[in-house]
Amino acid sequence: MYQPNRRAFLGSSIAFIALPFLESFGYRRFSSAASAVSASPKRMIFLGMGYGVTTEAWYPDANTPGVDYEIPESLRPLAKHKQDFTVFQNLEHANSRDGHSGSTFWLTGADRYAIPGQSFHNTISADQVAAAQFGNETRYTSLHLNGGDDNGHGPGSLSWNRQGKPIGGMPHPVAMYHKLFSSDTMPLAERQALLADDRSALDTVLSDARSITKGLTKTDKDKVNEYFQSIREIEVRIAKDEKWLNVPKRTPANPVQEPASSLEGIPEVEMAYDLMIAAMQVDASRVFTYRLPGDSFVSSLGSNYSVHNLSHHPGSPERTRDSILRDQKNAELLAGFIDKLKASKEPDGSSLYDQVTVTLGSNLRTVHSLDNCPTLVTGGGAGFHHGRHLVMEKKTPLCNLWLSILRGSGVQTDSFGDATGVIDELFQAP
Amino acid sequence: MIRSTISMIALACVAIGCNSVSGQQTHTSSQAIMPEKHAAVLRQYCFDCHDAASAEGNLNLEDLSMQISQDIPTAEWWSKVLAAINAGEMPPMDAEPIADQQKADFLADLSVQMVKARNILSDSGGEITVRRLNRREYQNTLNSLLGFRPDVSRLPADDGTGGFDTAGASLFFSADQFEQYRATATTALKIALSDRKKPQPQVHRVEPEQTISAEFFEQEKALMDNISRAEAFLAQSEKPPQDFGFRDVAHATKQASRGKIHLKQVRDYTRRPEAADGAFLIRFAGHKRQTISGPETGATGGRYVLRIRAGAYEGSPQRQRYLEYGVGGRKEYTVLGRVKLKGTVAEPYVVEVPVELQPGSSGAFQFRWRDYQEQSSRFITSQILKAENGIGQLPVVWVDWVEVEGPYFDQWPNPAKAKLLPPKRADEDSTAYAQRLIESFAKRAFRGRPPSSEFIDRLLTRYQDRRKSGKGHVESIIDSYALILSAPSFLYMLEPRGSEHPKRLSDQELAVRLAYFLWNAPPDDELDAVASSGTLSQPEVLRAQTARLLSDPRSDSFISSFAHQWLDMVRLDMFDFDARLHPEFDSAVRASARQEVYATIRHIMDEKLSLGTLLKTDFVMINDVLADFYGMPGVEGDHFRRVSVPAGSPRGGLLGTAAVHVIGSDGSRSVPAVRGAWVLTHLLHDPPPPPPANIPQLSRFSGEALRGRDLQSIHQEEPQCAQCHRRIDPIGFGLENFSAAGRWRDKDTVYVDSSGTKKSNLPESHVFDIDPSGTLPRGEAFENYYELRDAIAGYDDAFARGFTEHLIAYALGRPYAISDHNLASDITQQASESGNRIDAFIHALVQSETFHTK
Repeated sequence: MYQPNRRAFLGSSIAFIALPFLESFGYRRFSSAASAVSASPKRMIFLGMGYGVTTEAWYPDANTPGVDYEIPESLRPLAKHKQDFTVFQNLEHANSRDGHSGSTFWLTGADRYAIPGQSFHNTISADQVAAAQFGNETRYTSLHLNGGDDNGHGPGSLSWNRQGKPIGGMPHPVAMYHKLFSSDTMPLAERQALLADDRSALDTVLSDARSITKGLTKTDKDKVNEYFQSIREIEVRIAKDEKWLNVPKRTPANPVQEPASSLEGIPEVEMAYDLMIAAMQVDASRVFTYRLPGDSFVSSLGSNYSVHNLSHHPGSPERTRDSILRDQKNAELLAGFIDKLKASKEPDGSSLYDQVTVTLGSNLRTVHSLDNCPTLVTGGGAGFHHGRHLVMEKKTPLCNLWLSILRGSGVQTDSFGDATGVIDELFQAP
Repeated sequence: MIRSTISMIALACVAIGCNSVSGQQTHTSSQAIMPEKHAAVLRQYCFDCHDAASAEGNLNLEDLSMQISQDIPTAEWWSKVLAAINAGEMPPMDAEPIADQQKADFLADLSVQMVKARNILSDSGGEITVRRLNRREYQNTLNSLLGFRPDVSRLPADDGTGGFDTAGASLFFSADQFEQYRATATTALKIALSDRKKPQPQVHRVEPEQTISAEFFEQEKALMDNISRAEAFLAQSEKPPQDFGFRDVAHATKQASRGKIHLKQVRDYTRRPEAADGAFLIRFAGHKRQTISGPETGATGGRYVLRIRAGAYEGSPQRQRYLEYGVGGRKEYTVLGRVKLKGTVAEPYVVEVPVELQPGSSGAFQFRWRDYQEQSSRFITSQILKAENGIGQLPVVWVDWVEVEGPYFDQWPNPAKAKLLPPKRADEDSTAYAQRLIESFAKRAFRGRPPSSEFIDRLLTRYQDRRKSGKGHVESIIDSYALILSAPSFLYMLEPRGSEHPKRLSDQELAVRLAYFLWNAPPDDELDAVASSGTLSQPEVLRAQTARLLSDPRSDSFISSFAHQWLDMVRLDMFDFDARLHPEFDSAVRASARQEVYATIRHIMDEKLSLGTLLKTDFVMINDVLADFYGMPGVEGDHFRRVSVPAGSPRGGLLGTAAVHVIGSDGSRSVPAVRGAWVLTHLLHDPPPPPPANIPQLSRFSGEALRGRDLQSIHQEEPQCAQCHRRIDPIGFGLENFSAAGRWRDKDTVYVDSSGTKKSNLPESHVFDIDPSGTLPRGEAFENYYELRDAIAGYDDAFARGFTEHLIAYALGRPYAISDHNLASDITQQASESGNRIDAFIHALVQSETFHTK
């Protein structure tokens, strides 16, 4: 089952990650030279709110579907962008059961108990389906930010690979800044040597891994296979790093200043949004996920509550007030993000806003409810018609939205999770 | 509030579902079957749309088997039926509703059978999946190899996947983890192999009047100057504020008003004569804390003695007479412990604290007054005090000086280092030497399994390449060692079968399984030697080794990690507490409450008492912090010791611990439903089935003051809630004499809004009598807490059964399965013959065929 040869290994991993490096690299070099004529690429951003929203203030009146709805209190800062977004009702994951996990299954829709005898299981997330196709042409296949801890987000990550294993995120925008823009002062030869050394380290542990599989049961082999798959993933990453070694990092026309590592809460989110824009401007990546910070965000609003206490707001006027303030701040930051996306022009004359799909939401609504997941989508990247309040049929799979975003953005995929189809309304003018 | 209660139980139930099975099916059929009588309900209310002819929504109930556990599709259909009826979606609005009693019975049976079906369908037939070391085991294993406890905070915690963190099937591996393991191991190895010189012990004294008091005297001057300039400005109208040193009028006005408030507190400090000779550690300007910093400790670790000459004002509350000490930076440090001051301000006294630091820890010793960790709690209680005394928090403790003495080392260098880097022999060249080191370390790290020659060759090549490129011997060997500590032979506890059939473990494998069960660490030299001699599998030898491991302090790791997960103690940390309502409950109490549970189990095990002692007993295991919290005088020092409780005391046993009551609260109020479900699940071994998901919000009572019983009785309004809550809630009512923080109360004070922390005044409140009477599910009536506790203590068999099932899951690293039924019965049988001693359960499990089988 396991080939004692790393090249054979890479061969199989290419098949499974679908990364035709050489071709895509060559293509990119030519296409960037002639970028004025090529169409702008599609992008995708997922912003996870962890513990959800203030139900009574965040959703428009369910009796006012369509274009004529009143912007609810929590979303008021987005009023001037009413034509630019869609707010949904009744999207949910049929299999979600974790009342403290706003992010773990949000982009996957998986059933954590799907494998008998196993208490945790997950599947590939929507962003990674996109990354597998969009990521070939950028330095980073996808970029992930993890603000704060698991509190309200649940274990793991927003992003899960093809094996359903979490993809770690950068803890702070400052890490993202360095990844995107810090110039490597190390000479090329040394960097190449470092990558070669990393490869040799992987080959070394693989030699141990191969020696232990003999005599293992089927279940054990499957388990140890996770180790092989992980090493394979790193190999793919190294191969990609090598291809990009002598391509210098680009800086956008309006460079972002290096953020202070002390940024917390609101300014931290603002910086993250700025960096995503900068990353898209230099086409460093086209897929982003962000677990928004929780406690630090709330405390930078001047609230004294922990984000968990705040999610238990029903019945308490003070907690409810702070919860709405938190919602409004999220809406305000998103409004600012939309402004900047619109102001950023692409080589083909369109704006970044026209090419991106941004989703703000969570698997959790309020307290520990997993139905009617708060979901707000903006951006023109998937060809959606916005400006509406879409009240879906009860229990519409949230995966229908993920499938709509994927297909609308040109990702070739037949299905996603438990999706029963795309949301047709999004592709029809109101 | 109600909503939260219900869904909390949902979580608890989900967790239970994956590692335990309800005691209700212990003797019934091995299938989950919906009783035939309910077919009438389906016929009467559902067949209109869901019979074979119509089959709306593809659901044909006529042909759906009543045997839920028949296969997964059948179970899934039943699960949809349960959800639809629970949510009130079926029967639809325009159809005839199911009669309440019929509906409640139907749902009661279906929800219990669904749990059973899931357990049947997920039974792995006893197969134990290979297990990766979890974070705790990784740390302990590195400790045994490197001679110190390294920092492993870079690794994922391995909790949060449900079930025990020893379950092999759930312990996954990702690409990030490989890099985290390698980085963690590299850092730890650098510390272990550092060639730092042995530091000489030193005594360093800090006089805090030079820092903290000096700042107060400075501040007094500055404030007075500010205020007089501001007043001078405000008293005239010709000159601009800038002439008086202010940016604008607002700046000046603010200085005049707020400055005066601060000045009050500053003057209260400086007027005290002791301020010149030492420092008061107070809470200043609402929430700020003072810190006395000692010298930098260096990275060698070692033993230190901290001496503090200090005292507290006479008459001050006991709980405020503590200092907290830790190591790290001034603002962010790791709390190492708390020490109670014995002296008074007039007659200070020197207290001494021994401390041991792990190598690699950095920063300085820091000392603070024991105060709320949450800034909001400090602020709000200051506001309340300010309303009373016009100043805020007044000084309680005064420190003359602190002294740090150390570091001392039992052995230098660490003996582990000599094993990691034995000297080169005269007859070997550097390649042979490196090969010997790598091979010997790999064999130790791989728990006796010989590494493959290819692996060693590759490591050796890397070593040689490094040396050739000019790197040193130690740096090059660290690279090899770190890869060994990131390799699967180290990370996975391998028990290869060699064939398709189950096999008996080798003695070496048995030793590893035993050591990781009871120590969360690899076998020590003695266990290794016994295993090598081939005698470990002999029952008496194994028994002796098991007893030795249990009596070793390393088994504390087993007790804490098992008890934490078994008793769902993660809930202990879920809520911040409202300091207005529970001023005595702070992080020191919370930490001690957790330790109390572990210490009690440890004591019961060491003293060979019955497991049932946990249900009711006449002693508590407490430290000084908890003694103050429980109001039990005469307990000095922060170690946990046995203290007898008088006959009428509510303390003694799990139900008397603060921890259990905090678990059943939301930080403001007690939550009877959570407490009831906890007792049913963990003590009576009769877990309620999971509640339906997405229960509609019941917020119509917000803003009203309702006593707990009335609030909870809303559960009884709907048949789908009532069928479980009539069993759950009465137990919680019986525990209502314990506040959210676990203190005894005779009345329940209910605040109209008990959750805000912004207002300095307590909200409007109502005081209710507590009615703790009720009945247990099997009918035992109780009038009060004491009778409830006694009734529960009668369930020691059910309790033992639940304990056993969790122990099996934890020890074997897989969920408890229905096929473990006989194993569990054997264990409880054997244990009961030994008076249900905790070690008897462990011996019975360790001696069982299952424990020896892969």
